[in-house]
Amino acid sequence: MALDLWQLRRQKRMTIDELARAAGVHPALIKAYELGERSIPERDLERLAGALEIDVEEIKELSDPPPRGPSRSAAPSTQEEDAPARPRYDSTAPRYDSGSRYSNDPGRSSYGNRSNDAPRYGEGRPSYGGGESRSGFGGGEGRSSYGGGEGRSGYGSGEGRSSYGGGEGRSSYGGGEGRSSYGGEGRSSYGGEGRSSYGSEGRSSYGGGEGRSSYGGGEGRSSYGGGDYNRGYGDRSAPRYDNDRGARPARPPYRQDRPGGPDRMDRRMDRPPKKPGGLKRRPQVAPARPSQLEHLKILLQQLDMSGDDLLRLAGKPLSMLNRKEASHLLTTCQEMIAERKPERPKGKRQRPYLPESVDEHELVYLTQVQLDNSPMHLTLFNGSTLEGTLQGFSPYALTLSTNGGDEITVQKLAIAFYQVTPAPERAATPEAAPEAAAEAAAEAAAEEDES
Amino acid sequence: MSTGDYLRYLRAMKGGPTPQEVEEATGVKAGDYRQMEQRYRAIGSEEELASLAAYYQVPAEELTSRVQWTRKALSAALVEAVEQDAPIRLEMRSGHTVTGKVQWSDLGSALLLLDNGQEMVVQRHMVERWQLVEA
Repeated sequence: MALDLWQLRRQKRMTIDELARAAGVHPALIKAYELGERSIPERDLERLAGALEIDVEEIKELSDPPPRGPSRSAAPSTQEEDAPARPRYDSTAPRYDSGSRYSNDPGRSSYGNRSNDAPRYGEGRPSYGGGESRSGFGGGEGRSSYGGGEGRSGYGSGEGRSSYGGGEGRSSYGGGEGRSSYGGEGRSSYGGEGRSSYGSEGRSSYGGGEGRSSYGGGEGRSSYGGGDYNRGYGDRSAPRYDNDRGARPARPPYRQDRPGGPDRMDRRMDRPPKKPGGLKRRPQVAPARPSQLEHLKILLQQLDMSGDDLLRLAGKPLSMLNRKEASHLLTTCQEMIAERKPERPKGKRQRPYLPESVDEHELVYLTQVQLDNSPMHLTLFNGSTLEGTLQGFSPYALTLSTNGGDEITVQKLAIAFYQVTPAPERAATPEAAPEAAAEAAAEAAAEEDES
Repeated sequence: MSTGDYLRYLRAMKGGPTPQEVEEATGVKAGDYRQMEQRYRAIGSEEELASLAAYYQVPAEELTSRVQWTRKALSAALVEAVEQDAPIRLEMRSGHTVTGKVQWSDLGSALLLLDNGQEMVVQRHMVERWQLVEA
């Protein structure tokens, strides 16, 4: 299932800046993506996924904004990643106040209520929906509630005294018997039996165990924001959140530090600037294709051209021709061959539109029959017959003069076949027929192919 | 006989409507019908052929069974007859059978020189079957 970008980033324990640097995306953009102000375009999705070392599909294209809370940077998610199961927001919600700090300073600044110089979230007044609770999100004097109720209950409901902001709550965030609070003095645990607290004196453990670290502040030995965070997180090794980069555990190298070289953005930056109006290199003309040369040889043979003739025509021998020159020479040769061909018979037809129209050979034949005034015998599809001499014809009809002197026009389509008694001088003799007929038939077949 | 030639035959039998009229009556795409009659390759979907069969009042199988029987088959036989100088026997739908040597052939017809010296121009959409006769 796809997660919000901020969730994934927090899971990877990265700050926005770190993610920005690793992904090559501007931090402001990442911020906008996380707040759901902009959907993440595919290009950035890929970059971010690469930086987070996850698949693109795992990132929601449009994030839901993160809940307003103390954990805004690379803080480990208090809910998603550390609770053994889904945290219970039930009766006694944890607190979020009293000394838990989210700054570098182990001292004062905090989200909680004891700080003097930090922005406060609540300052003792209810916020986040809490009825009469006095504190807000962690501020004031405790008793704030995250979720409502009368002040003491917190994130969920019920009677819990704990609150997200408040004092002595005994809530547990995830279960167990913990009396932890997110702030205050609570002894909550996030999972197991730990007595952790997010706030001040807690001896919390974040997932079990007996860790005594606290996430927050106050007098706790660890602090979220700074100081000497010792340990915690139950049985896991605890990352440090002291903003002391030098002391951090080794992180997998970012892209630009990997052996593969700089990332895409760096490469792009390294690219020399484009020259304005720079010339593209022209591809060189390839040598003539073997098929071109073969075709040329055939054509030259048909033209009875020798090597000298070719040199005169092309200016160079065949083997020296490039593709363009060969193409040009082919065209020239074909034109020369076309000029040598005998003219086609008169009465050159137009391509008929209707399929039944008189085609080339029939046109020549009918013209001759008409000139010879040879008698014709037509048999139509319906079995009827007509006799007469051809007076004229169009592509789609023949006009006969019958023996009675009438003229009848017959649709070509209606004719099944017709017989002609040829004039003696025009009669096709068996000796003369084959060669001419073969040529004619081949031409017809070729034309039919074209059609 | 190919689908194209058979369609032309059916159109002749129906009184010679133009291809456009056939297209309008059957819903065949404009220009397709003419190509179905004239082109070598098989043209037209089964739906179109069924629609044409209904128009001509013939079983649809009469058309669909001829799809693979291209017009080129007859053309090739006529060319072969010329090249081999062999007579060809043409069986026509009217029941006539003629045998002769091919003088020429084109898109619509072929000229046979009959044994009796007569010349006969046969419209190809009349030819149902053909066979080369050994010389």
